Amino acid sequence: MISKVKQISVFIENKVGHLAEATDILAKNNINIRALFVYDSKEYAILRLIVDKPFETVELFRESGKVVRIKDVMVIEPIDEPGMMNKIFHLLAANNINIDYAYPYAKAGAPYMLVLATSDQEQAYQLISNSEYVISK
Amino acid sequence: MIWSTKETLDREEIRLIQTEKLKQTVKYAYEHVPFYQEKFRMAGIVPEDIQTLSDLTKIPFTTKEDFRNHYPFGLFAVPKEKIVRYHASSGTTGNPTVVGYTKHDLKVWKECIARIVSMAGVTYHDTAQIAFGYGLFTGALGLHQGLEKIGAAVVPMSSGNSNKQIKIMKDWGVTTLIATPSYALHLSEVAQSLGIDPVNDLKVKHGVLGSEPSTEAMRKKLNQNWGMQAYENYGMSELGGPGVSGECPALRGMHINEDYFICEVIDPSTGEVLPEGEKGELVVTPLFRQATPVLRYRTKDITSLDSSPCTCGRTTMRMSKIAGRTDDMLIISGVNVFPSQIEEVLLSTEGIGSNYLITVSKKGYLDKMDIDVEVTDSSLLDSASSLDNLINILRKKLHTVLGIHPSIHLVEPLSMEASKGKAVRVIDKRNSEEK
Ligand SMILES: [Zn+2]
Repeated sequence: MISKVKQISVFIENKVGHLAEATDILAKNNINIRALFVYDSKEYAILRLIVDKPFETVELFRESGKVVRIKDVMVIEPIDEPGMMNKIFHLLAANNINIDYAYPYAKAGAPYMLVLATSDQEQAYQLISNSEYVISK
Repeated sequence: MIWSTKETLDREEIRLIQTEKLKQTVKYAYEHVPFYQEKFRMAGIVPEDIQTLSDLTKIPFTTKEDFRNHYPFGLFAVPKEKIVRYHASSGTTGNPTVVGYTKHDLKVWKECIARIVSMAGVTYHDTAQIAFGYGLFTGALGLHQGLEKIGAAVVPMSSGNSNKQIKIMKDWGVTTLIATPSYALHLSEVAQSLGIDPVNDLKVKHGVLGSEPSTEAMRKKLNQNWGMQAYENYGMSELGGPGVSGECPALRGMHINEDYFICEVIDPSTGEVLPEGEKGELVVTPLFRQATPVLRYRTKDITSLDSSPCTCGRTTMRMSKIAGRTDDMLIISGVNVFPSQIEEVLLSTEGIGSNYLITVSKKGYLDKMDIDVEVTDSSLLDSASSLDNLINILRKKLHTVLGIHPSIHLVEPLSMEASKGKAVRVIDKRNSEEK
């Protein structure tokens, strides 16, 4: 399985409580988190989120003064066999596509799903969906 | 256009005029203001000791505190019957500084402004909107009278009511904007938010800006937003208001009206006069004032002087853009740093906001500078490396300009405005810390 989803990135200062402050906004507005990934440096963090109501979430963050970015990423469900991730990464590398970052995504009944952001989203999507490495619908 | 023949005299002729007027000014101040008699007595000099321009250094400085201590009329040289106008500076603390004008003082003031607006290319064909606040502040009425003198049509808007400012600019065909640089920038943004593009929909071509220091980056932004050329000018209420100097089209500093002002640059810590070209505190002696004569006024503004010939044809000395205030200067590990230098770097860097906070502290025996910068461009969030890149670019640029390596901290946009307010931009913790 492969699909496109909206990912939200939020800039957060690397200080105690700032992450909770951001997720407060989601909790208060009944927004459900499907996947969450925090990149953090010494100074700052980028919170990456996949939620059930992405556009509403962007508005809420903007209203509270946050720097927010929305962008398409893909979610893939590889076939549950050893070496399958390795094949997918080689497929992309062979086509000169760089993987910017990847993080797990959860769904009931699916053992392993992954969010992928790459240097060429469109081509990566085509390559993976035409491959036999992901579970077909 | 060059308004007066006094702007193109030989340097030697200028010095002769200054010497003659200086002798008169010193004698006049001494004879009419007890404050100067006392100052001269303390310094052990008499007016006759001042015979040449280099004798100027014998005269003690006058400061803002002197004005405050003699509030309201202690430094006045004429009785009330001779005064036709008062102005004052906004005193954020304590008494304001009051200056008076006789009919003669107003006449000279108009002449100085006429020269400065002419330098900026304004003529009787132009319509000038004054977006300075009217009132005790010298800026609005000062420019107003000088613009009338050259025959320009004046629109006395005062500051505020930005939507109306834009409407009148558009409907009345305003060509010249008189404002502070920050208000001019604000007005351009208001116009854009109303769906009016100042470059194509308005006719503003000249910006005569002053009363607060600004950076080259700010000028670039103003020129772009308005489709105009922004010119700066200099003055302060204690010196009679704007009219001390202004920029010509060469934009190589502000030409000083030298037949009315003597400018010196001193080392702010020792009071020693510095050679031409060196940066220091500007000291000004106006050469005409009847109501409130001032000798060697310490402006606290940092600049340098240049008497080399200018391509515009004027021969008068130029002072460089104000680099900061002596009050604002930070000494970081022996290096002089002005917040304005940092602001210039920040304004010319993409992806960050205009607010910043500088914190200076001690780490052991060393000074440490931290700068909080707002992230505003969301496209930087696509990869962490673009944010790290931004930090590196800022560090490099700041090192080139300042000669020191500050630590850069990226912060969320609203955090600074909400918690610390826009006005506080520097926090110096060095004196409050132990060790
Ligand atoms: Zn010039």
